[in-house]
Amino acid sequence: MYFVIAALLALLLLARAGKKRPLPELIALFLVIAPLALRALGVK
Amino acid sequence: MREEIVIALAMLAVLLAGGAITKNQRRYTPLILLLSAIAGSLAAGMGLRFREIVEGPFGFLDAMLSVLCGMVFLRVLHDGGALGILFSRAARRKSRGARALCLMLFMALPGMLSGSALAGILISGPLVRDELRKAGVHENRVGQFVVVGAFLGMMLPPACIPAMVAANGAGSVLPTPYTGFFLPLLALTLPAFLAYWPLAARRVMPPAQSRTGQTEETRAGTSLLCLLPLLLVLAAVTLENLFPAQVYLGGMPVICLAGSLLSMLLPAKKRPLRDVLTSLSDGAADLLLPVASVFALGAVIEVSSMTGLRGLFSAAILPYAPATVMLALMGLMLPAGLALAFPLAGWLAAYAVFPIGWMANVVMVAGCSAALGAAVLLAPRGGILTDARERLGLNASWRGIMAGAWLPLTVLLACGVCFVLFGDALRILIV
Repeated sequence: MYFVIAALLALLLLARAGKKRPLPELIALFLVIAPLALRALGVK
Repeated sequence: MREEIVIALAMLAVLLAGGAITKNQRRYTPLILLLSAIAGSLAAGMGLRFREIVEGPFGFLDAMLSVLCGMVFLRVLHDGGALGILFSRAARRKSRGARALCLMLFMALPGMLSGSALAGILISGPLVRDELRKAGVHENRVGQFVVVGAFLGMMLPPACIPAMVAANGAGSVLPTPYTGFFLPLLALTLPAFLAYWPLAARRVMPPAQSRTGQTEETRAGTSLLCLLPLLLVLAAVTLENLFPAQVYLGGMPVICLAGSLLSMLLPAKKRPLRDVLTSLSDGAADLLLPVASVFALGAVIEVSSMTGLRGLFSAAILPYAPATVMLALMGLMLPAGLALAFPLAGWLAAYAVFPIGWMANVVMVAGCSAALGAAVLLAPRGGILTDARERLGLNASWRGIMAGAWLPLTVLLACGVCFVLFGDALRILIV
């Protein structure tokens, strides 16, 4: 269940990534999406 | 000088230089923390250790899932109009005391469910700010009420980012799960909440007749059914935390997402599906910076463990009682918060709870988290005040905010110190 939630949140955040954002926010976005996506893929 | 100290100084130098260059702007906090982790790794001669830098955030993953899901729920509830109705009911109270209490709870609600003060500022802040401004309340007092309300919400259970950071630090090698904090956090923050209530009623709340009226939602006479998801989520989270052995409903993330779905089905105002989906992604994006900061802090903690700094620290504190070390580091967190807001104070919080080890007494961990919360409130730049200024356009000064915030802050810190000193006797709070 938590994998599904992590995937859902990663997708929701990715949906926001398309908008024009400054570099520090893009890094923050990557920092949040990366662990969520890894969790969703069952890496850890 | 020992190698570990040189590494710590390199990491600290990056934090300080980054804070000075960016003037503690929130958007740069995750980047600075990440650079500090990389600097530590390079200073240790280990190169770019991606494994540790990636592994650190995993310690916070489950806790941050709760934070993000809580914010998604709040955003759906807010955009659907339910919170507007709740606000108009809260602001309608005639007596100043009852109105102050209702508005404080309204300000605190988003922070309680998401663990972040920023949630309170984004969700409840605009409504409360407009209400108080219309009534002619001085800008400093408007800011004070919003900031203190959001701060108390952050510290109140079920979710509390400072306690999540502290809980992770207690884990040593294994991260300690964020469980069992409900009653300790409630007992920690409730005295501060009750201390600020009369102050807010007397100094901030305008007399009833000077209020300007209610919001459109009340005038339209909308059904209160839209508040059902909020009530169900609050009841579910409370029951699950108070009776963990008897009630399991899937945890905060599942409850909040179920609440979001229910809230989409029971909106106060009808909206196109596209808007509803936008609310979902807005909710996840709202707390991007605090969550990214916590993840980046995880990388810093992991690198400091990898490079031996944590080992040196654990050897150095052996002669001292755990409470002494905790109180000393809690004391250091306050100037660290004043200087750099979250990054350095968060790092210290992770080390402050280390002496009690991975079999951590959550009462003591909760007590320690009070200092981290206080550090974020005290920060003139990069803390809650900055969020209130930037997101709400509040023209409040640091002194103006602290003129009222000192009381709940002092009470909270005093409770935190008591929790650390008498943590063993207060184990009755752990359920």
